[in-house]
Amino acid sequence: MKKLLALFVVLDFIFVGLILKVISSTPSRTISSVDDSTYNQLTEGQKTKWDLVKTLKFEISSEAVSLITDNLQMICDTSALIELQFSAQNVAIAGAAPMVSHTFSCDSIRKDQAANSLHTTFSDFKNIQQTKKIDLSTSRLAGFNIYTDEELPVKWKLTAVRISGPSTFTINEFEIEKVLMTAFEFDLPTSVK
Amino acid sequence: MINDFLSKAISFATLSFCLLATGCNKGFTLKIQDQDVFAFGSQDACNFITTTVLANSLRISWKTSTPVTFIITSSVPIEYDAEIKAAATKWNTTLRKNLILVARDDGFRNSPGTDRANAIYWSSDWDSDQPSQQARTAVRWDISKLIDADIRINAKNFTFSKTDDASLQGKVNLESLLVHEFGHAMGLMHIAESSSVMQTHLASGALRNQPGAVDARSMNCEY
Repeated sequence: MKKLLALFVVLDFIFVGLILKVISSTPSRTISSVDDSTYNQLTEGQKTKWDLVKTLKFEISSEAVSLITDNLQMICDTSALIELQFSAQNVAIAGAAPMVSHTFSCDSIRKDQAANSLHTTFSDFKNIQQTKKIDLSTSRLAGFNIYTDEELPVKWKLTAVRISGPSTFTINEFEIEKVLMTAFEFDLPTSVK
Repeated sequence: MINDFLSKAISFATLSFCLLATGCNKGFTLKIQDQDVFAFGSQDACNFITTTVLANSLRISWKTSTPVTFIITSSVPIEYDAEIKAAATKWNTTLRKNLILVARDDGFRNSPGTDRANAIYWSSDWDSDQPSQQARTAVRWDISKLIDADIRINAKNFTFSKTDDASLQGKVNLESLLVHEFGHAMGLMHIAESSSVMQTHLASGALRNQPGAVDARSMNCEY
Protein backbone atom coordinates (compact mmCIF):
# COMPACT_ATOMS: atom_id res chain seq x y z
CA MET A 1 0.00 0.00 0.00
CA LYS A 2 2.86 2.36 0.85
CA LYS A 3 4.36 1.69 -2.56
CA LEU A 4 1.09 2.59 -4.20
CA LEU A 5 0.87 5.85 -2.25
CA ALA A 6 4.42 6.72 -3.12
CA LEU A 7 3.64 6.05 -6.76
CA PHE A 8 0.74 8.50 -6.66
CA VAL A 9 2.86 11.17 -5.01
CA VAL A 10 5.52 10.78 -7.68
CA LEU A 11 2.91 10.86 -10.45
CA ASP A 12 1.38 13.98 -8.97
CA PHE A 13 4.74 15.77 -8.86
CA ILE A 14 5.41 14.80 -12.45
CA PHE A 15 2.00 16.04 -13.52
CA VAL A 16 2.39 19.36 -11.70
CA GLY A 17 5.86 19.76 -13.19
CA LEU A 18 4.50 19.20 -16.67
CA ILE A 19 1.73 21.76 -16.15
CA LEU A 20 4.15 24.39 -14.85
CA LYS A 21 6.43 23.82 -17.83
CA VAL A 22 3.57 24.18 -20.32
CA ILE A 23 2.22 27.30 -18.62
CA SER A 24 5.62 28.96 -18.52
CA SER A 25 6.24 28.32 -22.22
CA THR A 26 2.75 29.52 -23.33
CA PRO A 27 2.51 33.18 -24.43
CA SER A 28 0.39 35.35 -22.15
CA ARG A 29 -3.29 35.33 -22.99
CA THR A 30 -3.61 39.08 -22.62
CA ILE A 31 -2.86 41.57 -25.32
CA SER A 32 -0.11 43.16 -23.22
CA SER A 33 2.50 41.33 -25.25
CA VAL A 34 1.25 43.18 -28.32
CA ASP A 35 3.07 46.36 -29.15
CA ASP A 36 0.21 48.76 -28.55
CA SER A 37 0.92 51.94 -26.66
CA THR A 38 -2.79 52.64 -26.22
CA TYR A 39 -3.28 49.36 -24.46
CA ASN A 40 -0.29 49.83 -22.20
CA GLN A 41 -1.66 53.13 -20.97
CA LEU A 42 -4.94 51.61 -19.82
CA THR A 43 -5.85 50.80 -16.24
CA GLU A 44 -6.21 47.17 -15.22
CA GLY A 45 -10.00 47.37 -15.52
CA GLN A 46 -9.76 48.93 -18.97
CA LYS A 47 -7.27 46.26 -20.06
CA THR A 48 -9.63 43.53 -18.90
CA LYS A 49 -12.42 45.19 -20.84
CA TRP A 50 -10.21 45.57 -23.92
CA ASP A 51 -9.40 41.85 -23.71
CA LEU A 52 -13.10 41.06 -23.44
CA VAL A 53 -13.96 43.24 -26.45
CA LYS A 54 -11.21 41.49 -28.39
CA THR A 55 -13.11 38.21 -27.99
CA LEU A 56 -16.31 39.62 -29.52
CA LYS A 57 -17.35 38.41 -32.94
CA PHE A 58 -20.35 39.53 -34.94
CA GLU A 59 -21.90 37.19 -37.47
CA ILE A 60 -24.63 37.95 -39.98
CA SER A 61 -26.66 35.19 -41.59
CA SER A 62 -29.69 35.40 -43.83
CA GLU A 63 -31.96 35.16 -40.79
CA ALA A 64 -30.19 36.69 -37.81
CA VAL A 65 -27.28 38.58 -36.36
CA SER A 66 -25.22 36.94 -33.63
CA LEU A 67 -22.84 38.33 -31.05
CA ILE A 68 -20.36 35.62 -30.16
CA THR A 69 -17.87 35.47 -27.33
CA ASP A 70 -16.24 32.57 -25.55
CA ASN A 71 -16.56 34.67 -22.40
CA LEU A 72 -20.36 34.64 -22.36
CA GLN A 73 -20.53 32.30 -19.38
CA MET A 74 -17.86 34.32 -17.60
CA ILE A 75 -19.92 37.49 -18.05
CA CYS A 76 -22.96 35.73 -16.64
CA ASP A 77 -20.98 34.48 -13.65
CA THR A 78 -21.08 38.04 -12.29
CA SER A 79 -24.07 39.63 -14.03
CA ALA A 80 -27.80 39.15 -14.49
CA LEU A 81 -28.68 40.73 -17.83
CA ILE A 82 -26.99 41.35 -21.15
CA GLU A 83 -28.61 43.96 -23.35
CA LEU A 84 -27.66 44.38 -26.99
CA GLN A 85 -28.50 47.84 -28.20
CA PHE A 86 -28.94 48.23 -31.94
CA SER A 87 -29.21 51.74 -33.37
CA ALA A 88 -30.38 52.74 -36.81
CA GLN A 89 -27.71 54.30 -38.96
CA ASN A 90 -28.27 57.30 -41.22
CA VAL A 91 -31.66 58.07 -39.67
CA ALA A 92 -32.79 60.12 -36.68
CA ILE A 93 -36.30 60.84 -35.53
CA ALA A 94 -36.86 63.72 -33.13
CA GLY A 95 -33.10 64.06 -32.89
CA ALA A 96 -32.38 60.47 -31.87
CA ALA A 97 -31.72 57.26 -33.72
CA PRO A 98 -34.40 54.57 -33.76
CA MET A 99 -33.23 51.84 -31.43
CA VAL A 100 -33.91 48.18 -30.76
CA SER A 101 -32.92 46.73 -27.42
CA HIS A 102 -32.58 42.97 -27.03
CA THR A 103 -32.14 41.86 -23.42
CA PHE A 104 -31.01 38.35 -22.51
CA SER A 105 -31.32 36.76 -19.10
CA CYS A 106 -28.14 35.31 -17.66
CA ASP A 107 -30.26 32.71 -15.88
CA SER A 108 -31.14 31.26 -19.26
CA ILE A 109 -27.60 31.57 -20.58
CA ARG A 110 -26.20 29.73 -17.56
CA LYS A 111 -28.57 26.83 -18.17
CA ASP A 112 -26.65 26.03 -21.34
CA GLN A 113 -23.00 26.08 -20.36
CA ALA A 114 -22.01 25.62 -23.99
CA ALA A 115 -23.82 28.81 -25.02
CA ASN A 116 -21.43 31.37 -26.45
CA SER A 117 -23.65 33.51 -28.65
CA LEU A 118 -26.64 35.84 -28.55
CA HIS A 119 -28.95 35.85 -31.56
CA THR A 120 -31.39 38.45 -32.82
CA THR A 121 -33.52 37.41 -35.77
CA PHE A 122 -34.40 39.77 -38.60
CA SER A 123 -38.06 38.77 -38.39
CA ASP A 124 -38.20 39.94 -34.75
CA PHE A 125 -36.43 43.10 -35.82
CA LYS A 126 -39.10 43.80 -38.42
CA ASN A 127 -42.02 42.80 -36.21
CA ILE A 128 -40.95 45.28 -33.58
CA GLN A 129 -42.12 48.13 -35.83
CA GLN A 130 -45.72 47.04 -35.29
CA THR A 131 -45.58 45.49 -31.83
CA LYS A 132 -42.95 47.76 -30.19
CA LYS A 133 -42.22 44.91 -27.72
CA ILE A 134 -41.65 41.18 -28.17
CA ASP A 135 -41.33 38.68 -25.33
CA LEU A 136 -39.40 35.56 -26.28
CA SER A 137 -38.80 32.55 -24.05
CA THR A 138 -35.37 33.65 -22.86
CA SER A 139 -35.13 37.27 -23.95
CA ARG A 140 -37.08 40.43 -24.64
CA LEU A 141 -36.98 42.96 -27.47
CA ALA A 142 -38.15 46.54 -27.27
CA GLY A 143 -38.20 49.24 -29.92
CA PHE A 144 -37.63 52.91 -29.20
CA ASN A 145 -38.23 55.81 -31.56
CA ILE A 146 -39.73 53.37 -34.04
CA TYR A 147 -43.02 54.27 -35.67
CA THR A 148 -45.54 52.35 -37.71
CA ASP A 149 -45.85 55.17 -40.24
CA GLU A 150 -42.11 55.75 -40.76
CA GLU A 151 -39.86 53.68 -43.00
CA LEU A 152 -38.19 50.98 -40.92
CA PRO A 153 -34.49 51.87 -41.21
CA VAL A 154 -32.43 49.40 -43.23
CA LYS A 155 -28.95 50.11 -41.87
CA TRP A 156 -28.29 49.15 -38.25
CA LYS A 157 -25.34 48.88 -35.91
CA LEU A 158 -24.70 47.22 -32.56
CA THR A 159 -23.92 50.40 -30.62
CA ALA A 160 -23.74 49.10 -27.07
CA VAL A 161 -23.55 45.95 -25.02
CA ARG A 162 -24.94 46.76 -21.59
CA ILE A 163 -24.13 44.26 -18.86
CA SER A 164 -25.93 44.76 -15.60
CA GLY A 165 -26.04 43.55 -12.03
CA PRO A 166 -24.15 42.77 -9.82
CA SER A 167 -21.24 43.57 -12.16
CA THR A 168 -22.41 46.45 -14.35
CA PHE A 169 -20.64 48.01 -17.31
CA THR A 170 -21.22 48.99 -20.92
CA ILE A 171 -19.17 48.27 -24.00
CA ASN A 172 -19.81 51.16 -26.36
CA GLU A 173 -19.48 51.33 -30.14
CA PHE A 174 -16.31 53.41 -29.89
CA GLU A 175 -14.63 50.72 -27.81
CA ILE A 176 -15.69 48.00 -30.25
CA GLU A 177 -14.35 49.97 -33.20
CA LYS A 178 -11.15 50.94 -31.42
CA VAL A 179 -10.26 47.38 -30.47
CA LEU A 180 -11.54 45.49 -33.48
CA MET A 181 -11.09 48.22 -36.11
CA THR A 182 -14.52 47.39 -37.47
CA ALA A 183 -18.12 48.24 -36.69
CA PHE A 184 -20.79 45.64 -36.00
CA GLU A 185 -23.09 46.85 -38.78
CA PHE A 186 -25.70 45.12 -40.87
CA ASP A 187 -28.51 45.74 -43.33
CA LEU A 188 -31.98 44.37 -42.71
CA PRO A 189 -32.74 42.04 -45.62
CA THR A 190 -35.73 43.26 -47.57
CA SER A 191 -36.93 39.69 -48.15
CA VAL A 192 -37.55 38.90 -44.48
CA LYS A 193 -41.13 39.42 -43.31
CA MET B 1 -7.20 5.71 2.26
CA ILE B 2 -6.10 4.77 -1.21
CA ASN B 3 -9.52 5.73 -2.55
CA ASP B 4 -9.31 9.09 -0.81
CA PHE B 5 -5.84 9.71 -2.18
CA LEU B 6 -6.91 8.57 -5.62
CA SER B 7 -9.91 10.89 -5.68
CA LYS B 8 -7.72 13.84 -4.62
CA ALA B 9 -5.25 12.99 -7.35
CA ILE B 10 -8.03 12.82 -9.94
CA SER B 11 -9.52 16.14 -8.77
CA PHE B 12 -6.14 17.79 -8.97
CA ALA B 13 -5.49 16.38 -12.41
CA THR B 14 -8.94 17.50 -13.59
CA LEU B 15 -8.45 21.01 -12.24
CA SER B 16 -5.01 21.22 -13.85
CA PHE B 17 -6.39 20.05 -17.18
CA CYS B 18 -9.33 22.42 -16.91
CA LEU B 19 -7.04 25.39 -16.28
CA LEU B 20 -4.74 24.38 -19.08
CA ALA B 21 -7.34 23.58 -21.72
CA THR B 22 -10.24 25.96 -21.22
CA GLY B 23 -9.34 28.65 -18.79
CA CYS B 24 -12.17 27.43 -16.56
CA ASN B 25 -14.41 30.47 -16.10
CA LYS B 26 -15.83 29.42 -12.76
CA GLY B 27 -14.41 31.32 -9.85
CA PHE B 28 -12.94 34.14 -11.98
CA THR B 29 -14.51 37.56 -12.30
CA LEU B 30 -14.15 40.12 -15.05
CA LYS B 31 -13.45 42.99 -12.64
CA ILE B 32 -14.60 45.63 -15.09
CA GLN B 33 -16.14 48.72 -13.50
CA ASP B 34 -18.65 51.02 -15.13
CA GLN B 35 -16.00 53.75 -15.37
CA ASP B 36 -13.55 51.57 -17.30
CA VAL B 37 -14.32 53.32 -20.60
CA PHE B 38 -11.35 53.55 -22.93
CA ALA B 39 -12.88 55.06 -26.07
CA PHE B 40 -15.58 57.62 -26.79
CA GLY B 41 -16.58 60.12 -29.43
CA SER B 42 -14.11 62.80 -30.40
CA GLN B 43 -15.89 65.74 -32.05
CA ASP B 44 -17.82 68.16 -29.83
CA ALA B 45 -21.43 67.30 -30.58
CA CYS B 46 -22.62 70.92 -30.15
CA ASN B 47 -26.06 69.40 -29.51
CA PHE B 48 -26.04 67.92 -33.01
CA ILE B 49 -26.95 64.35 -33.88
CA THR B 50 -23.72 62.43 -34.34
CA THR B 51 -22.60 59.37 -36.19
CA THR B 52 -19.60 57.17 -35.53
CA VAL B 53 -16.95 56.53 -38.12
CA LEU B 54 -13.98 54.43 -36.98
CA ALA B 55 -14.37 55.34 -33.34
CA ASN B 56 -14.79 59.05 -34.11
CA SER B 57 -18.09 60.82 -33.72
CA LEU B 58 -19.05 63.28 -36.44
CA ARG B 59 -21.83 65.86 -36.41
CA ILE B 60 -24.72 65.34 -38.79
CA SER B 61 -25.72 68.46 -40.71
CA TRP B 62 -26.47 69.84 -44.15
CA LYS B 63 -22.83 71.05 -44.30
CA THR B 64 -22.61 73.66 -47.05
CA SER B 65 -25.89 72.68 -48.74
CA THR B 66 -27.85 75.60 -47.40
CA PRO B 67 -30.35 77.13 -47.55
CA VAL B 68 -32.51 74.07 -47.00
CA THR B 69 -35.92 74.26 -48.65
CA PHE B 70 -39.03 72.77 -47.04
CA ILE B 71 -42.23 72.09 -48.94
CA ILE B 72 -45.53 72.74 -47.22
CA THR B 73 -47.62 69.88 -48.58
CA SER B 74 -51.29 70.11 -49.44
CA SER B 75 -52.12 68.23 -46.22
CA VAL B 76 -51.30 71.35 -44.19
CA PRO B 77 -54.19 73.84 -43.87
CA ILE B 78 -53.16 76.96 -45.79
CA GLU B 79 -54.09 79.18 -42.83
CA TYR B 80 -50.96 77.92 -41.05
CA ASP B 81 -48.46 78.81 -43.79
CA ALA B 82 -47.59 82.12 -42.17
CA GLU B 83 -46.78 80.37 -38.86
CA ILE B 84 -44.47 77.89 -40.55
CA LYS B 85 -42.71 80.62 -42.53
CA ALA B 86 -42.36 82.72 -39.38
CA ALA B 87 -40.64 79.79 -37.66
CA ALA B 88 -38.10 79.54 -40.45
CA THR B 89 -37.54 83.29 -40.31
CA LYS B 90 -36.86 83.09 -36.55
CA TRP B 91 -33.89 80.83 -37.20
CA ASN B 92 -32.65 82.89 -40.15
CA THR B 93 -32.72 86.16 -38.24
CA THR B 94 -31.17 84.62 -35.14
CA LEU B 95 -28.27 83.20 -37.14
CA ARG B 96 -28.18 86.11 -39.62
CA LYS B 97 -28.05 83.55 -42.39
CA ASN B 98 -30.49 82.43 -45.03
CA LEU B 99 -30.60 78.91 -43.66
CA ILE B 100 -34.20 77.70 -44.05
CA LEU B 101 -36.63 78.40 -46.89
CA VAL B 102 -40.29 77.39 -46.92
CA ALA B 103 -42.65 77.19 -49.89
CA ARG B 104 -46.07 75.63 -50.41
CA ASP B 105 -46.39 73.06 -53.18
CA ASP B 106 -49.87 71.59 -53.43
CA GLY B 107 -48.70 69.44 -56.33
CA PHE B 108 -46.18 67.60 -54.17
CA ARG B 109 -47.48 64.05 -53.74
CA ASN B 110 -44.60 62.11 -52.12
CA SER B 111 -45.23 60.34 -48.84
CA PRO B 112 -42.72 60.88 -46.04
CA GLY B 113 -39.58 58.87 -46.71
CA THR B 114 -36.18 58.94 -48.34
CA ASP B 115 -36.97 60.98 -51.44
CA ARG B 116 -34.41 63.77 -50.93
CA ALA B 117 -37.28 66.21 -50.68
CA ASN B 118 -37.94 68.01 -47.40
CA ALA B 119 -41.61 68.25 -46.63
CA ILE B 120 -44.07 69.19 -43.90
CA TYR B 121 -47.12 66.97 -43.39
CA TRP B 122 -50.32 67.39 -41.39
CA SER B 123 -51.00 63.92 -39.95
CA SER B 124 -54.44 62.85 -38.86
CA ASP B 125 -53.09 59.36 -38.04
CA TRP B 126 -50.63 58.92 -35.19
CA ASP B 127 -49.20 55.92 -33.35
CA SER B 128 -51.46 55.20 -30.40
CA ASP B 129 -48.50 54.75 -28.04
CA GLN B 130 -47.29 58.30 -28.77
CA PRO B 131 -50.35 60.47 -28.11
CA SER B 132 -48.31 63.16 -26.32
CA GLN B 133 -45.96 63.69 -29.26
CA GLN B 134 -46.90 67.02 -30.84
CA ALA B 135 -44.83 66.60 -34.00
CA ARG B 136 -42.01 64.45 -35.32
CA THR B 137 -39.08 65.18 -37.59
CA ALA B 138 -37.25 62.37 -39.37
CA VAL B 139 -33.86 63.14 -40.90
CA ARG B 140 -31.72 60.88 -43.06
CA TRP B 141 -28.09 61.29 -43.97
CA ASP B 142 -25.25 59.90 -46.01
CA ILE B 143 -22.00 59.50 -44.02
CA SER B 144 -22.45 62.72 -42.05
CA LYS B 145 -24.36 64.94 -44.47
CA LEU B 146 -28.13 65.30 -44.27
CA ILE B 147 -29.98 64.43 -47.44
CA ASP B 148 -33.61 64.39 -46.38
CA ALA B 149 -35.93 65.75 -43.69
CA ASP B 150 -39.65 65.31 -43.13
CA ILE B 151 -41.77 66.98 -40.49
CA ARG B 152 -45.10 65.51 -39.38
CA ILE B 153 -47.51 67.50 -37.27
CA ASN B 154 -49.81 65.54 -34.96
CA ALA B 155 -53.22 66.80 -35.92
CA LYS B 156 -54.88 63.75 -34.43
CA ASN B 157 -54.19 64.56 -30.79
CA PHE B 158 -53.63 68.34 -30.83
CA THR B 159 -55.14 71.59 -31.99
CA PHE B 160 -52.88 74.50 -32.90
CA SER B 161 -52.81 78.21 -32.35
CA LYS B 162 -51.31 81.07 -34.32
CA THR B 163 -48.98 83.47 -32.56
CA ASP B 164 -51.33 86.44 -32.97
CA ASP B 165 -54.39 84.56 -31.71
CA ALA B 166 -56.15 86.34 -28.87
CA SER B 167 -55.62 83.33 -26.64
CA LEU B 168 -53.12 80.52 -26.90
CA GLN B 169 -54.65 78.53 -24.05
CA GLY B 170 -55.38 74.86 -24.64
CA LYS B 171 -53.60 74.79 -27.97
CA VAL B 172 -50.05 74.18 -29.15
CA ASN B 173 -48.48 77.25 -30.69
CA LEU B 174 -47.60 76.11 -34.20
CA GLU B 175 -44.80 78.65 -34.76
CA SER B 176 -43.06 77.53 -31.54
CA LEU B 177 -43.52 73.90 -32.50
CA LEU B 178 -42.06 74.47 -35.98
CA VAL B 179 -39.07 76.40 -34.59
CA HIS B 180 -38.31 73.25 -32.60
CA GLU B 181 -38.89 70.89 -35.52
CA PHE B 182 -36.75 72.99 -37.86
CA GLY B 183 -34.00 72.65 -35.26
CA HIS B 184 -34.26 68.87 -35.60
CA ALA B 185 -34.41 69.16 -39.38
CA MET B 186 -31.12 71.05 -39.33
CA GLY B 187 -29.54 68.31 -37.19
CA LEU B 188 -30.12 69.34 -33.57
CA MET B 189 -31.06 66.99 -30.76
CA HIS B 190 -33.12 67.68 -27.67
CA ILE B 191 -31.44 69.63 -24.90
CA ALA B 192 -32.41 70.12 -21.25
CA GLU B 193 -31.76 73.88 -21.21
CA SER B 194 -34.54 76.23 -20.17
CA SER B 195 -33.53 78.92 -22.68
CA SER B 196 -33.44 76.50 -25.60
CA VAL B 197 -36.16 75.89 -28.16
CA MET B 198 -34.86 72.31 -28.31
CA GLN B 199 -36.31 71.29 -24.94
CA THR B 200 -38.22 68.06 -25.28
CA HIS B 201 -41.65 69.32 -24.30
CA LEU B 202 -43.59 72.37 -25.44
CA ALA B 203 -46.35 73.13 -22.97
CA SER B 204 -49.81 73.70 -24.33
CA GLY B 205 -50.46 77.45 -24.55
CA ALA B 206 -46.77 78.33 -24.26
CA LEU B 207 -44.96 80.66 -26.64
CA ARG B 208 -41.36 79.53 -27.25
CA ASN B 209 -40.68 80.81 -30.72
CA GLN B 210 -37.31 82.52 -30.27
CA PRO B 211 -34.13 80.41 -30.54
CA GLY B 212 -31.92 81.06 -27.52
CA ALA B 213 -28.22 81.85 -27.34
CA VAL B 214 -27.50 78.18 -26.65
CA ASP B 215 -29.33 77.25 -29.85
CA ALA B 216 -27.41 79.83 -31.87
CA ARG B 217 -24.13 78.52 -30.48
CA SER B 218 -25.10 75.01 -31.46
CA MET B 219 -26.08 75.98 -34.98
CA ASN B 220 -22.90 78.03 -35.42
CA CYS B 221 -20.86 74.86 -34.96
CA GLU B 222 -22.07 73.72 -38.36
CA TYR B 223 -23.59 76.69 -40.19
